[in-house]
Amino acid sequence: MHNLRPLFQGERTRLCAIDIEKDAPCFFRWRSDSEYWNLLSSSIAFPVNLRDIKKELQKWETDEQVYSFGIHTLDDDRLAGLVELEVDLLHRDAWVGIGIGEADCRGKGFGTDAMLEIMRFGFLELDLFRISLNTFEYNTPAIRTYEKMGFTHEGRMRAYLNWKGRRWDLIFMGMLRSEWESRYHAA
Amino acid sequence: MPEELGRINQESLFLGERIRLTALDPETDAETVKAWSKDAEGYAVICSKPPRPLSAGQAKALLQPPETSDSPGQFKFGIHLAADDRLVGLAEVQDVDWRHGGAWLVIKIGAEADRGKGYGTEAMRLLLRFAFEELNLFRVNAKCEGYQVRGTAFLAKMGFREEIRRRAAVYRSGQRWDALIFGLLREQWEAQHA
Repeated sequence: MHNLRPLFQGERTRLCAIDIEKDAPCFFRWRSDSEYWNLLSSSIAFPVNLRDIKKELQKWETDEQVYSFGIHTLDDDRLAGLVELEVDLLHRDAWVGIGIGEADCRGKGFGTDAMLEIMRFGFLELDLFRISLNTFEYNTPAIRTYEKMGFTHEGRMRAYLNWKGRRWDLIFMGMLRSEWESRYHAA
Repeated sequence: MPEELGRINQESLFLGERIRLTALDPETDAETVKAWSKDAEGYAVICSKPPRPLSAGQAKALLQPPETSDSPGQFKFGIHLAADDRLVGLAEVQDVDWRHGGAWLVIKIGAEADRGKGYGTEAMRLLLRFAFEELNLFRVNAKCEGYQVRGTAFLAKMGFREEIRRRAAVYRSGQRWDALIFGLLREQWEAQHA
């Protein structure tokens, strides 16, 4: 049964600790693609070097509020992307962020699989009450994926983003524990 | 247009009819902030952490100005009565996002006796003008939690629109509440002031 599978082990992916020395070159390559970066972050895309990437990864490593994982394919143990959960233990809420950095791994369901795994971790292990995310109006594939997974639209900050010469909304979505349970964890 | 520019001076920018926005002074303001922290609602004025009564030293530490950097994103003001210079609240522009031209605005009145007198309204007017005309922002945001009924009504009155309702995102006093985010766009603010 789905629920009895060990944590971090999906049907098509596994969530692994990030190995800074081994994984940094992949993160560096993904980060150098500004189109990808603009789907992942609202901060400025600009060239960084491998040393900057390692420093960033080291910061995550010691951050107790952020759980970051590398997404590895089960088939060939390739690093396909990253997923992270920033936890607010006071309110039992968390923000999830995900990116499939390897272009040829997109559109294959790896992201959805990894999201389901980190949500299982959040609800079953961290005892969260809800999981939140935000995404950009121009990232329509992501929005569609989150809708399909059962996230509810909770509103949009109008014209929040300045991208490619026009303004775009910042979109907020959330899933409550009860919604997750009835969809993914029914007895 | 020197005549036009002549109307803009610091004094008018931070001076309302009954209140003035000033720099915070940890030395002189700590006692007032310590007094606010005695009730939970007053504590929420100071920060968003769980409420606790503060010592004078803790209050002072909270009032320390943020570390300066090349591109400052935090602007913190005291709200003082023009008549007797008493500190009644705090006004802040937080986390300016220079890439997208956005920021979070916070207005809080510390003591119950000073609420409902329009000081917050005056302070928000000054803060909005500062955000749009000096910081050149495109939009501003403000947070409110479901139980903050007065805060919600205040933001609506100031022209903000409720944009986000994060369901049951806050746990407070034994209950779940929605977390609300409000937004006001520059063009709407300008239209109100045309």
